[in-house]
Amino acid sequence: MKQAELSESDALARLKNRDPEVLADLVNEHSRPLYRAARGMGFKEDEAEDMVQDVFITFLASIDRFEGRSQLRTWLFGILHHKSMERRRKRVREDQHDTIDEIFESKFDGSGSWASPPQDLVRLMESKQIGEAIAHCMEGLPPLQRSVFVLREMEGLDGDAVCKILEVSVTNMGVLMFRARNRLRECLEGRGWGKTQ
Amino acid sequence: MITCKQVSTLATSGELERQSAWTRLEIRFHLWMCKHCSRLVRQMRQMREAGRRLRSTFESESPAGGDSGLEVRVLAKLRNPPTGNDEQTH
Repeated sequence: MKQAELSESDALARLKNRDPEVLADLVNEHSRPLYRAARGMGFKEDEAEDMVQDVFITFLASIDRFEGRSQLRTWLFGILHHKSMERRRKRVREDQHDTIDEIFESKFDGSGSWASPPQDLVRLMESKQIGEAIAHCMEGLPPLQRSVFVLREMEGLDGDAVCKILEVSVTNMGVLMFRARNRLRECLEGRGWGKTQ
Repeated sequence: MITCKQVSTLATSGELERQSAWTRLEIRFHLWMCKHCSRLVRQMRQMREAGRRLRSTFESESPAGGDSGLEVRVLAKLRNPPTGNDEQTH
C-alpha cells in the first residue's frame, strides 16, 4: 500500500510501530532521491549509501518530533543536510563576503550595462562531457551553495522546501543560488566551453 | 529603467518570478531588447538542464542499478540498526 493511500497520521502511527509495509514504502519512495542528492553534494557512492541508511535510522529515532509541519520528503532531506554537515566536520556557514560577488560586479560598467557579456554555452550543452563538466565545476562550490544547487536544480525542490531543509531565509537562499550559479557559470566558461564556433 | 545588472542579479538568484507584475513586464521588455541578458537567462536554463542530466547520471550509477539493491540494503539495516545514539538535531 502506498503512503499516499494512507492518511499521514495513519502512516506515521504505523511507522512508529515499525510497520514493515509502511517502512518499505517509505524506503522505496525516498532512498534514491536521497542517494542522488548525497552524490550531488559530493559524497562517494559508498558514503552516499551509508548516508541514506543513516537518514532513515535517524528519522525513525526522531519520528516523535516529526509533527507534520513540513512534508516528509522535506524532513528527510533536512536530516540528510545535517548528516552532510556532520561528515564534513567543519563549521559551514555562508560568509557575508564572497569573491564571486566581485567577479559578478566586474562584468558591468558604472551604468549597470554589460562590460563583459556572458558567453553562449551551446557547445557545452551539446557535448557528451556535460555531466563531467558540471560535476567538476560543482566541486568548486562551497557546501551550502552546492546544496542549494543540488536541491533546487538537480532535485527540483521548491524554494520553501529548500529553505526549511537548509534552515535559511528566502533571501539567503537567493544569495546562495546567485553565488552558486555565478561560480558554475564562471567555471564552465573558463573551461573554454563557451566558444560557439 | 531596469539595468542589465539588475536583470542579471534577479535571474541568477532565481527571483525573476517573485517580482511584481510591473517589474516582470519591464524584465520581459529588457530581455527582448538585450541579447546579452537573454543569453544569461538561457545560461541559467542550461545549467538547470545540466543539473537534471547529472541527476540522471547519479540515478543510473545508483547502487540500486536498476534493481532494488539500495532499498533492500537500507531496509535490512533498519531492521538491524546499529547500537548507540544517533539523534539528529533537525
